[in-house]
Amino acid sequence: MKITTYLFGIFPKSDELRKNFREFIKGKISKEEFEQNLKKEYDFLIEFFESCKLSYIYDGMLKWFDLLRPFTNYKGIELGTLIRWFETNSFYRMPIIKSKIELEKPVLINYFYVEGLKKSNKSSLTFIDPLSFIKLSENEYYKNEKELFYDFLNALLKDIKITIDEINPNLISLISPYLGYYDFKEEEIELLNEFINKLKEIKKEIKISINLCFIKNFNKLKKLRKLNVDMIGVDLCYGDREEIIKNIQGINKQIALGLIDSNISLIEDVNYLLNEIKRINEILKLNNIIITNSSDLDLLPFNIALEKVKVLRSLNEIQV
Amino acid sequence: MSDFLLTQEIGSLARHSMLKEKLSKEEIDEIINEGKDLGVENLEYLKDLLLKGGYKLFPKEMENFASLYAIKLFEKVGLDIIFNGEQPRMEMYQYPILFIEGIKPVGYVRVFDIQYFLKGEIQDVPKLKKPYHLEEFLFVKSHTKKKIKIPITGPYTLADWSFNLYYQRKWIGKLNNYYKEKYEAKREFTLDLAKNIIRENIKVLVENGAEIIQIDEPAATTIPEEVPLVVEAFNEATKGINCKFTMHVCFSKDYKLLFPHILEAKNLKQLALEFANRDKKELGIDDNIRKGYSFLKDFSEYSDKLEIGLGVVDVHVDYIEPVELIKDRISYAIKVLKDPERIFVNPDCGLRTRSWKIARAKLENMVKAVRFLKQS
Repeated sequence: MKITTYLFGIFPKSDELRKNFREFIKGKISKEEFEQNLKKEYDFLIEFFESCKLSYIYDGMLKWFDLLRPFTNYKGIELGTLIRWFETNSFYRMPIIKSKIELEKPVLINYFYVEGLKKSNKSSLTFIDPLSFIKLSENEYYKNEKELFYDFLNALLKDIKITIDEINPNLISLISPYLGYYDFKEEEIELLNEFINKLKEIKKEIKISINLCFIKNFNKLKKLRKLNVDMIGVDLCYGDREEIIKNIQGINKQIALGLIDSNISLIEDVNYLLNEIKRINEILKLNNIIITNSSDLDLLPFNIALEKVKVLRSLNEIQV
Repeated sequence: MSDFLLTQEIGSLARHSMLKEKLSKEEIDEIINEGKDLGVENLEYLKDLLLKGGYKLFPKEMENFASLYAIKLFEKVGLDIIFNGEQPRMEMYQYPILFIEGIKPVGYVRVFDIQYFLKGEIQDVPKLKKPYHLEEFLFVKSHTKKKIKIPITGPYTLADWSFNLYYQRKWIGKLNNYYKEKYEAKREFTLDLAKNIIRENIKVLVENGAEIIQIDEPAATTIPEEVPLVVEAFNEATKGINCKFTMHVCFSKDYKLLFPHILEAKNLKQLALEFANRDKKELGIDDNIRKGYSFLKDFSEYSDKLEIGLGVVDVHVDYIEPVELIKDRISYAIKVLKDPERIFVNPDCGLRTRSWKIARAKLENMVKAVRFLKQS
C-alpha cells in the first residue's frame, strides 16, 4: 500500500518574510513591495510542497496571524485580548461577538493566495470549523448559542462560496481543536454536519477533511463516526497516542494519521515512523495510509518545518 | 520596615533608553535630568559615557547605570522589597540560555501576531557556563539598604519554552508509548535544569547573602498534568538551601491547577500571582465586584501558611489604577485571607512592556494605597 500525505494549518514564515511583515506594518515598505515578497514565499512553498509530492497543495496560510483572525472582519465581531492557544506558548486574539454577525464584504478570499492556488489541480483550503470558532470566542450578544452558530454559519458559507468559486479547491481541510480537546455534545456534531452538508452543496465533488488537534478528549472520539466528512485527521502527538488509536477503531472513514509532531524540533526518523504506521495499521486496518502533521506547523521555526515536510516526501516514496 | 502588606516588584522594567545603541543629544539630556530627579550620583560621568558612544562602547557601565536608575526609582516610589528591574537581562528566557551550555537557539517561533521569540533547543545535558545572576545581585546589594528579592527563571519554564531534542532522542521509541516517552524526556530535561543550572545559581546567590529568591514559572499551569513536575523541579532546585523562596505564576487559565501539588513544594513560602488583569475597574470589596480575585477563596482553603504576592496593577495596559481601586483590591484580599501579614502587594507581573513613566505611576499608586490602609 502506498503512503499519501498532506499538510494543513498555518505554516511558519521565513526570517525574510517576518521582516517583510514588520516593515510593512511600520510603514517602511510599500504595499507593492510587501505583496511582491509575500508572493515570492507563497510560490516557494507551493513549489516545495509540489516537489514533496503532497496529495494536496496549499499556500501555507502566510497571511493568517491565528486561525480565528480573518473572521473578526465579519460585522458584529471584534478583536479581543490575547489568549493562550491550548497548551502551547503561542497566543490568539479572542474574537468578541458584539452584535448580529453578518458578512458585509468577502473576507476569506483575501487571506488565500488565489493566483497560486488556482493554478493547481489539487489545491486545498484550511480553516477552523465554525464550532471551534464559536467556542474559542467570547459571546457578548447572543442569548442563544444556536442562534449565534446559525448567524456565523450564514456569513461563513457565503464567504466560503465566494472563495470556492474563485479558487476551485479539491479539498477543504477543517481544523477542529474543539472536538479534540473539549468534551463536546452529540448535538454539536449534528450542527457541524449541517455546515458540512451545506459546504458540499457549494461544490459536490469537493472532499472535506476535519483535523482534530490537541486530542485529550479520547472517550468521545467514537462519536465522530457520525460526522459527514470524507476524512478525519487525528493528532497523534499530543495526547496519549494509544488511547486515541483505541478510540478511533471502527470509525468507518478515511483516517489521516497526524504523526508529524508540530511541537517538537526532533525530525521524525522515517524508519521509526514506518514502524509506528505498521503498528497502528495492525490495529486500525486502514484502507489507505495517509500521513499528516499533528497541528499547525507554525509552532516551529521555518527551517525545521521544511525539514519535517521533507519527511513526508520520504514517506511518499515508500510502499507499506 | 512594617511587617504586613509589604510592597514589592515582580521583576522587570522596560530596558532603559540609555541601553539603546544610538541616542540624540536631547535624549541624553533627558536621561541626565531623569537621573537628577531620581537622585542618581555620578551623572557627569554617565553623560560623558553617553556622549562617547554609550551602550555600544560601554555596555557593562550602561547596564550598571540602568540598574542604578531602577533601584533609585523603586526606592523613591517607596517599595519595601526591590531588585534592579532586570536591566542587564534582555529577556527572561533568552538571557539565561546564553549561560547554559547545551542549549542553542534554533529559530524564531511565533508568540502572537508578528511577535516572535528565538527558541532554544537542548542538544546535550545542560551545564552552567557561569552563575548568571550573581553580579547583578552584588551590584544591587552594594547600592541599596532595602530588602532584595532576586527573580530567576524557573527550570520548568526554561524546559517548556525550549525544544527538547537531546532528551527526546534519548527517550522516543523506548517505552512503546509516545506520550509517556515525551513526558519522560521533559521530566529528565527539567530536573537536569533544576539540578545543574538553577540550583547552582541559587547556591552561589545564597552564599553571597541572598535572602529572598523568586522562582519565575509563568508556564507552570500551561499543561495541567505537568504541575507536579513544576513542584518536583522546584524541590530539586531548592532542597536544603536556607533562603526564602517565592514562586511567580501569571496569566494562568486557572490557578486552582496549582493545587494541591504546590503544597508539596517544601521550601516555598509565597506564591506571587497576577490578578488585576482579570479584575474589573469598579470600586468595592464584594465578591461580585472583585471577581478577578475569586481564587483567593480557594487559596485560603488550600493553605493557611503560604503568603500571597497579590497582583494589584495590570502590566498590559497604560491605565493607571486609582489608589481607591488598588485599596479595594487589597482590602478584599484582607477580607478573604484575614491575615495582612500573609499579603505582599505587587504588580501582576514584570512591567517590561510599560514605559518607565507609566510603571512609576502604577507603583506610586500601589504604595499610596498600602500606606492608606496601614494608617486606617
